[in-house]
Amino acid sequence: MLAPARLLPACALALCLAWPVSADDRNLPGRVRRAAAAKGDDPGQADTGGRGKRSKRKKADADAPPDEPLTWLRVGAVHLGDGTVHAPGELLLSGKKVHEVGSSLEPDEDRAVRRLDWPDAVITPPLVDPAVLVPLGSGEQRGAVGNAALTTKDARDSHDPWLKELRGRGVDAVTLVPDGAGSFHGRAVTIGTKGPGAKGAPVLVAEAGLITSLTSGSGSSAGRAAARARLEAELENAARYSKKWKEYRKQEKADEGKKQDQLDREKREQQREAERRKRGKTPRIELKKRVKKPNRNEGQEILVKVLEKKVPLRLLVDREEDVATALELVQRRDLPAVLAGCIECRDWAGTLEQSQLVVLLDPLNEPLREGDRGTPSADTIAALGEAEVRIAVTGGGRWPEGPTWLRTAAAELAGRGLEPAEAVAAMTGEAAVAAGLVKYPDRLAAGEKAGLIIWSGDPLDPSSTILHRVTDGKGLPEPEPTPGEDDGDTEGEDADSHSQTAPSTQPDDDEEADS
Amino acid sequence: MSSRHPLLTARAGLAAAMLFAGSVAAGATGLTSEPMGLRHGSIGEQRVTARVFDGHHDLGPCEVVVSGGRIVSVRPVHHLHDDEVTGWLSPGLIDLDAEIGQAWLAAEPVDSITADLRAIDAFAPEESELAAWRASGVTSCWLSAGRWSVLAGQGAWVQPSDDGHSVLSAAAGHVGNLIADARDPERAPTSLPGQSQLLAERLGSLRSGAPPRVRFDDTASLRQARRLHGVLPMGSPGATAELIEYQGLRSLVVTDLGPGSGTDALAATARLLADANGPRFGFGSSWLTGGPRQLRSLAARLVQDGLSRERALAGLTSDAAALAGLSDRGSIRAGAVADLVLWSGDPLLPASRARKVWVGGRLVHDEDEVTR
Repeated sequence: MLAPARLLPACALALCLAWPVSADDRNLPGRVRRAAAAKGDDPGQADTGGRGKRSKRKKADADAPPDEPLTWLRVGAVHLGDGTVHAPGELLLSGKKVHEVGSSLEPDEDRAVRRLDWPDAVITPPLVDPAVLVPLGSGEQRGAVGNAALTTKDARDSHDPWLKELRGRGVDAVTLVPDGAGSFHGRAVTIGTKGPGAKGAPVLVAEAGLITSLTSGSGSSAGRAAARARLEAELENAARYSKKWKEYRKQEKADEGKKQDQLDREKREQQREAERRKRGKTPRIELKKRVKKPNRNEGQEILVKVLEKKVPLRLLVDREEDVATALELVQRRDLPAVLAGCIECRDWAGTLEQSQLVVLLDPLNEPLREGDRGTPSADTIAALGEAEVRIAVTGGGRWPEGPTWLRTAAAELAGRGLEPAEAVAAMTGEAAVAAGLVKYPDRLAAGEKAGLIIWSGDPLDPSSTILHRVTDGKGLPEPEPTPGEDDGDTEGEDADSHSQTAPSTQPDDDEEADS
Repeated sequence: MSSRHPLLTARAGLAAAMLFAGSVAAGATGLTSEPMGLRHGSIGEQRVTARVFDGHHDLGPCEVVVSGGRIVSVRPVHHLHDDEVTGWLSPGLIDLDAEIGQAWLAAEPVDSITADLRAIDAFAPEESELAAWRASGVTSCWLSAGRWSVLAGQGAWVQPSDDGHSVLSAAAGHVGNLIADARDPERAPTSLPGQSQLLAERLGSLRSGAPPRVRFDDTASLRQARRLHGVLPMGSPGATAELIEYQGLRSLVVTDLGPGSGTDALAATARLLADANGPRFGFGSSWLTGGPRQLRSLAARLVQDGLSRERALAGLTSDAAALAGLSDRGSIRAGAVADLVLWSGDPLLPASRARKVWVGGRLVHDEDEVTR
């Protein structure tokens, strides 16, 4: 009989082999993808570093009218948010959307262009912190799946000033996670501001998932088995709950169409019944099976969303066997999932990469002492990075200051073996995925909304500041004409380019820019 | 001081030899050693060329000569530009409030405090923890016994070495706690003024050398700590939203930025520390989850809020040494002890790693050896 320690790597290999590999290059091993990018098979891939999993270089079919001027940003580097970085980078904006992104762009000759140059600046998507702890009131710990403490109203009431502050730091959205959700099901929601600037009220922008732990209680084998059994049972319950509602809704829909017919039939039936009674015959009762209206259960509702793949399952997996359990569960049920914890997932890096699951790391809470619970060691983080596992990062704190540590946390990841571009992706694009954000400017690509941050330098450098933040294409300064512009001899400039501007060194006032 | 085993001394010699070989390949960055002979406890002349932060300023590319465990000279290398050297050399980081081994558990009874009690007697740092300190670029750290009683008692300056640790100096009665967790009615008067009075009596009688330290964790405890004459407050500025409490404060050990204080308070803290008239400050890792690994992150976080890079780095090195009374450490200058760190990049960036660490001129951490 194999010892568990020997069995687990074998399981990892088996699961790795069993994981469905499609022809889509997203599922190719990282090195293959990187090599393909290096060979130039995909012209949209990175100029330097990064994975470029989902980036496509194409010109957007901009919904802006063709006569609308393009805004041409030329900077030191553009991070797309998925690990791809163009250095030097260029970005063309058309109205509210990104028109094109890459290096050495050539704007359409028939479009007017205004050019803005910041040679040292770096552009990233807005930052997202996918895990900020918020305390729950008493009595809300259990059954907190539909917790009222994490509603939009609550966000509006108590989080408004902090969201404004966080926006000033480039953080556009945060996922609120009920504190102590390690051993029970809890609902996580992502809040942000709607519309540009501090005037936007905090709103619920996404369901970030259902948190559940596969390392319940003491962390013993029995505890783990119980946690898994409970989760499986609840998923089954949710499936039954969903089925009941579907049947009930189907019945209601059918009833709606046949309502009049039904009434007529019932009337005729009643008349026949009355005649039978008069004749003294025993009435023949026809029982029609009706689906009873199920009771509303918010906890089941969120689980149904998980089953319908609308909301990810956030699985806390501390130990190696938890990772195995989670991967098997997610694959068998075909569930969207985010893995947190992952202390012992080093040997599973290859499988995690193929699964395309996002692993949420919390490097600032890495324990000093061996054996303490916490986040993966530096070696494990390096192994995940090497295998090109999708990694998201959190500032690891409580509301509201946690997200202000986000850049520091990402820089920590870079210090532990993750490529800088991957570290930037961990706090932008991948963090947005972990936060459940679907329609959000979480990555820069043609056709996407033009939401971005322009940093004075490397965002992983703490001394870098925000020069400008762009929301829906707004927030950029007007270019200042430079001497000699009218000479018409500016080499390499588009004939229709209106102007260019010197690098700005002063951070924008957020409100001013957004107004 | 701990004695060195002959085999370990030989190992240090081998490390230096390997370092010499590596420096030739590394070109502009690295440490050269001549002559190679090492005597017991002393080290021959060594040279390192790197971009130097001397504890106060970025000096650009310099050659630093070390001999006998001390820095002999620091000379600019004019023919090299900043971008031609890949590594940075800084003084070893100084952790002003560390938790190693059982220090965080040990709550010394008041009566047990004696002047000759050494930290090594009470604390038992484990090699894995010491390795974490070395790998973090920390060359001196202050150990103080438990934070859970009003009078934590003893403390000691410890240097992580390649074969354990050595105690620079030890002091008794050097740390007091005015934090909420220490307000245990069985150990001390429950009222803050009562605790403060107790500390005033005991710290006053046992004081020697560097100023005694007093931990605080909120506005009220900081106020009481300031009433104790000549103590070094240790705590999280963010925990004290009323920043007026810091007015006129001359020294401070920043141990955290405090949960629940909000981002405004953190920004205000950065402004307070950035103020030329603000307190001289250093950093302590005792409240950081990741311990010494996050010392630089703590400094970087303040830079994000407006503190200058130089002041943040000085807080990790020269200013920390000044607060600790370690006059011959914390800076790169002729005559100073050769506690040095060669970083892979800007030492303030959390992404930079400590490639090599020397304590008293002796190599105690080599990233290449660790990863090999």
